[in-house]
Amino acid sequence: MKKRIFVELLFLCALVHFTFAQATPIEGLFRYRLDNGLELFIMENDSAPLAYIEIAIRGGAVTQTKENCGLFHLYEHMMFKGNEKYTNQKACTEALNKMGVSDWNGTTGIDRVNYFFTVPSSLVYDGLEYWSYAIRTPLMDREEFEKEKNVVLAEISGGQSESGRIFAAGLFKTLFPESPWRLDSSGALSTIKNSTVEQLRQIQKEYYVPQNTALFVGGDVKHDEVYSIVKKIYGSWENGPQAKGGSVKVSTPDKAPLKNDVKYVFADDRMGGNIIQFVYYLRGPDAETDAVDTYPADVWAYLLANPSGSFLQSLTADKDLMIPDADYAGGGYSTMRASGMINFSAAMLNQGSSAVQKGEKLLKMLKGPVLENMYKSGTGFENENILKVKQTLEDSRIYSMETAQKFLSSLSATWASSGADYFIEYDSNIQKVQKTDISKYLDKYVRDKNGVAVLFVSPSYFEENKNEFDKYGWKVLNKDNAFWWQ
Amino acid sequence: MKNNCLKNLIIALSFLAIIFAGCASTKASDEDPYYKSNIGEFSTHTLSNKIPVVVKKSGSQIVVVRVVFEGGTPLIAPEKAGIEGLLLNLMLHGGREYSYEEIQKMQYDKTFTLNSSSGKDYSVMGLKCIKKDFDSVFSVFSDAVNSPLLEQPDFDKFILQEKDGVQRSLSDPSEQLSIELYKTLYDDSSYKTSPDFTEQSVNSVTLEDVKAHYKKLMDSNRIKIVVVGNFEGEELQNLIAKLDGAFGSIPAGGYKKPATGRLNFNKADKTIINPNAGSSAYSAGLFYCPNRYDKDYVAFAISLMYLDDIFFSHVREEGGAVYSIGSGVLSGRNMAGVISAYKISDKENIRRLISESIAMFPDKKGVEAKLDQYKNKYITTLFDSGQNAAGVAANIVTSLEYSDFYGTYLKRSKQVQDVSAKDVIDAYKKYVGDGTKIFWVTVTGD
Repeated sequence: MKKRIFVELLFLCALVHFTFAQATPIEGLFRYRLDNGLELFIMENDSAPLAYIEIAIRGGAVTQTKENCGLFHLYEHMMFKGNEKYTNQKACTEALNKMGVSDWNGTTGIDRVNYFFTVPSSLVYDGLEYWSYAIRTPLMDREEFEKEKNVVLAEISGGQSESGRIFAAGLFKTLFPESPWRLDSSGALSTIKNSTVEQLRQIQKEYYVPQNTALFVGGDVKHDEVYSIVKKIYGSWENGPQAKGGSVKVSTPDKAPLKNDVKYVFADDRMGGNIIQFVYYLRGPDAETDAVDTYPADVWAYLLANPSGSFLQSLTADKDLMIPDADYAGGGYSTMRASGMINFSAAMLNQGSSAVQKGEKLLKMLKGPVLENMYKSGTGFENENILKVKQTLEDSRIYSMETAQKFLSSLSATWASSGADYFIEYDSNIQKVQKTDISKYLDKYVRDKNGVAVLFVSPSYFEENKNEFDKYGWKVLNKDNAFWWQ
Repeated sequence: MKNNCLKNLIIALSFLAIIFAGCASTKASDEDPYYKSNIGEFSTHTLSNKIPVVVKKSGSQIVVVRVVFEGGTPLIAPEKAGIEGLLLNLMLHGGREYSYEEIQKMQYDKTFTLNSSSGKDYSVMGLKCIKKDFDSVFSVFSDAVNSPLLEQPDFDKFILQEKDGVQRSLSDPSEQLSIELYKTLYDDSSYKTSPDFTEQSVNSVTLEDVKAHYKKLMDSNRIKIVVVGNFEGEELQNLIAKLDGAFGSIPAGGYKKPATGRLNFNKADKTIINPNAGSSAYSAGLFYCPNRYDKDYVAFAISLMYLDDIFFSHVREEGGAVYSIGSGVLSGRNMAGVISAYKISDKENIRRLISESIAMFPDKKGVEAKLDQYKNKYITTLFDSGQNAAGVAANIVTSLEYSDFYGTYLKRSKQVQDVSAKDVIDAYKKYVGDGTKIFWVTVTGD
């Protein structure tokens, strides 16, 4: 009897060991994990006879070193240049065409590299097989590699003249001084030019491994059928000795990198002179180490957007700032694996006081009375205001599930930055947030902390007022000093 | 990687334009199973003032309403370019019953959107909400359409933003390309007025002009309404009654659909210097192409898919000359074929590579070998565009506007299936092959 029970328990344990599969609290969403660590997420939605297929790895800029910065992006390009089955770019394209893929793409971000397309749902096997060959057996032909470098160089050198890119580079360089390359998926031109296939192979060994990868499949599909297909195609994929992912963590940069606020002025030729823009960034919680703080951060960001709340009311009421209405100011927090940031922003009419005066006042308000109001009663940060978040979450879920692609894209981004459990348990964790949690979050990340403020003005305005910017300590940010390798 | 920045130009996601084409002369077909299975989900209605309403039943909790104002830029003087878009924005900025502050509070509480867009042939105002909120959201929307405040402080604020927007467009090379493309292609046509503000018009439009334009817009002869949502039976009847109550009293005015003549493609190349392009260039080549009513339109569209793959292979991969290259159409009642190259690195050889690519179109055997693939691609796009309520509404609106029948887009998949290799080759030769006049507009850094 005891032996039988023991055998049965052993059998049950074996089942649990070999099959991690479950429905989730989210209707239509199922999750699996193969023995090799590959995660699989399936969203059933039969609104059209299509299947969306995405494969993603946890990595990107955040897993870069100074020496290989930009190479995750170059690797992404090489994924379409040939593999064991489709041995060159033409064959890859023909395979995509054969499946009726109308749009396919890959992206390299800070936390995630992903590849995706949509196929007729009857071809979901072919689609999954396609990505299996692409991700497991890229040929990395040297001649193709050299050609693709030129394409990537054209892409990123064009980007380095773009105002948005210049601003972001300067922000990251300042707020993440230890390792700004961990937010730069484009990289330096010289790194790309001098890169080798061997460097890409090293990335493959470490990051393109099943325990660091997830598949996202959704649309007119059945979860158990997709699981069977994935098990058949991907089950033999192995993690090598250098495989990262799984329980391997990334380091998180200093949360207080600045002794004082850094103030920049950016002469932006996108600005016409009638509007001044202001942004202020602080370090926020990182999903890798501070996941529990991300929930009050998100609730706080939602409360900031309340047009009747003290944050927007106090900013729009100030006549000096000339913020037209609640649509022109805001704040938020972005959940990232190791680069969480808190932001405040405002667009102000360029009338009355100068840009410098507006910027100085706004910064003082944000760090002073505006912040202090958030601790007080009756200012829109009460528990009764927090209750509204629940309804908003339910409504947002309805919109997000309208198509499988929309839902899975969001899940994939969160999987990469914070993990799937975070996504699935998000609603229930958000609903536990109280005012006291928000106060603690503000104490830890906002009060008495230093960040990066940037004023965006037109080039002609800057020229006319540069002495004043200089006098008040607003340093010039431009393409000559924004990039971390300069 | 493969970049869809082409949509920054007025290419409108190239093949989305294709799916809106239709054959006005073809009656609704019962032989098409996809058409047959979907056409039954439509109902049509007419308000008291003869405004037509099309309702498509969906299974989701999301409701989309679109009020279409037909006419577009042929009815607007060049010195007032951008006025219709501005008017629609102002209409959504507060009405007699709901101030903008109230609307902002409601949007915070209820998660809905009110939006508008204006184009060459028509403009649209719309709402998107969850069905449980429809009554209250519709009330706001109806107030915005019927009783907008159109106040001076709001006008002043928006005009300042538009001025900055014009400045921004001129400094961004890809946006500047869009502007120059539009000017060059349409300057001698009925579309010579841009839907967007120009450097000239942004300094000349007044609030009085906007109010006068509102009166022209509120003409039942030029309005159509499209609804996508889970309405049937009594709920559907209540919906129509609500729409009639809100919009059924809009009077008939003097609107007549404007005539739009053929576009002229016999133009010289144009190059503009923009230092912000750096060492790159952005270029678009325009050529004559069939309109959506033409019987060879689908075949032409499929032929461009072959061409796109040749471009990708020959110009991008082998030539390394560009970050992104593709072909498509500029949408409208009169369309234009376009080849666009984004972030060109090899300016010296790009045209040669493009010409070589055009000449590399496969022979009949080559076309046949891949025809099913491209048909599948086309059909995937068709289904993809109709996965959500907003996409379905967009399909219906463009079907209505460009073929006078709401269900035209449903027929497209059968039309694709019926295309032969000969059709594709004939269409390619006629519109793209050797001797096709293409004029180029280029924005370059040096």
